[in-house]
Amino acid sequence: MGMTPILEVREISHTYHQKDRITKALDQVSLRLMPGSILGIVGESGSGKSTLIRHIACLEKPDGGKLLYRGNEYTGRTPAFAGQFMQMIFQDAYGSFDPKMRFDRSVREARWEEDDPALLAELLKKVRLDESFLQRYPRSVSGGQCQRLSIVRAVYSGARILLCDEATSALDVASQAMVIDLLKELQRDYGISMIFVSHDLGVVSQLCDEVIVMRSGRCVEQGDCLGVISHPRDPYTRELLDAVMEVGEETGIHHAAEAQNEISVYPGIPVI
Amino acid sequence: MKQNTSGTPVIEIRDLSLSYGDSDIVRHASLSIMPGEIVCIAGESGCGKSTLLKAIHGMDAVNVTGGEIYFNGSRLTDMSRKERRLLMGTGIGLIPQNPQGSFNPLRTFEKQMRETMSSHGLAFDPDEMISLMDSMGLEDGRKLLKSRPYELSGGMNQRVAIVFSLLLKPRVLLCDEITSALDVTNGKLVIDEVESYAARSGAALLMVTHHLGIADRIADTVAVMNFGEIVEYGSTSQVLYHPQDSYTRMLLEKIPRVRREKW
Repeated sequence: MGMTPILEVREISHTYHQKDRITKALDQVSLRLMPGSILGIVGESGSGKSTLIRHIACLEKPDGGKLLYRGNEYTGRTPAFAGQFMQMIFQDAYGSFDPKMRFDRSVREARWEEDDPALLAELLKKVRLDESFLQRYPRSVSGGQCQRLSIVRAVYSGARILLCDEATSALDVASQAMVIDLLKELQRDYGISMIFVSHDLGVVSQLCDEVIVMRSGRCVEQGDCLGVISHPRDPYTRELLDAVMEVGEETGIHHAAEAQNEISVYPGIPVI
Repeated sequence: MKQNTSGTPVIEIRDLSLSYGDSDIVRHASLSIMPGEIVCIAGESGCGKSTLLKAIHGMDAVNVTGGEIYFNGSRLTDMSRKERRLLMGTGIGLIPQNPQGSFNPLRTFEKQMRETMSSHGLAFDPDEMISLMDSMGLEDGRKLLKSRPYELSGGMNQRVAIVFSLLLKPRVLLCDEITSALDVTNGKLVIDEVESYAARSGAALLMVTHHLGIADRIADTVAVMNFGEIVEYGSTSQVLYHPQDSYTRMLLEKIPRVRREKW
């Protein structure tokens, strides 16, 4: 029956105890990531989305539940063990590199197998960075370039899953668009699977195949990304979508454009 | 969104150039804002939009290397420090991007607000503050008045800072990325609240944002900045729906939009 998910989370819970209060940061959250697909996790601050991917990467110890990679349980293993098949991409790319190490060393050090210069060259080409960037230090490149190098490092390490935590949130518009395209290419060309945590519904809808909406440590809605965004069932999902402010949303100008055989009525703005 | 087309602009800047130390941040910018008008300055990090706001607000760290700034027809650079200081808050209000930096972390919000109001000769009404907080999704205002900035999250502090600025009833309110620390649902509440303040008081808003959706929602006029220059300036419908400048077009194209099924 069907394919085995590359990653499965079964009823993971995480509880914080403070004085007389118990906070459930995660309350029996489950998910399945299929090989080669991108799963978005959306929610507002405190919804538990970052805690969830920290659990997946074994950076936290769950109070209950199971984690499985290709059907094999790895709950309770070390972050280094999980690092063999998954890598995190953080919002703060600079913070994820040793500031005193050239990229060359940081990137090569992350690889589990033998060095593969051809693959490294190919990846750099893919992220549109010259090989000379490897000789530079983190603080001498821009935020967007640094994030692209952290993606190179993650893929070069041999990871089959990327866990992206607000990976494009700190980037400028053009860099963000480039990183989104890049992640799609990695999915297409290398079959890499991803979990993409973001508060930005625009980015998630452009990138992800499936989506999970989280609120207060629980998953309130999940399913096909386009379906959930087009026909949200949960009131909270609807509230989130209603709060998104976009150019042209109230004028209905996009619907008018679609009617005219998808010719944009104003230059430069794609019809969606 | 009412807009007087005649009369004195509440803020006018003419051919303004600004620098920090040796580096030029803003070059030859001109803008004029009428009472009740909502103007958005859009652009990406480092384009000079926050520096422009700081100069209008009168912060000392920014050097005016050329051009003029007028408030209600009077030149800001002609005013004494004391005059400018009195103008801050009630004449020209500023909601900073990082509100924690403008609060004393250890004093209660009530004490800080009371003090700010009295330094401008205004009376402090706790109920007004509580109802404003409530409209921005800050529940239990009575308890919040007794809390201190360090006890609240960044997003809550941001909203309290907005409440502070509104209570001073400025004639023009400068907003620097006021939704960047907020979740989308609270961001929308805040935007609606400052817009309604402008509508009921006739104050002008000058908002700096990288978020073009906000500009489309509330602005009458949009100025797009790139590398210290205003590259496009016009009515919201002109700039966002018929952009002339290639940089404006790039911004509009590259922002990820929510993709929905076609009907």
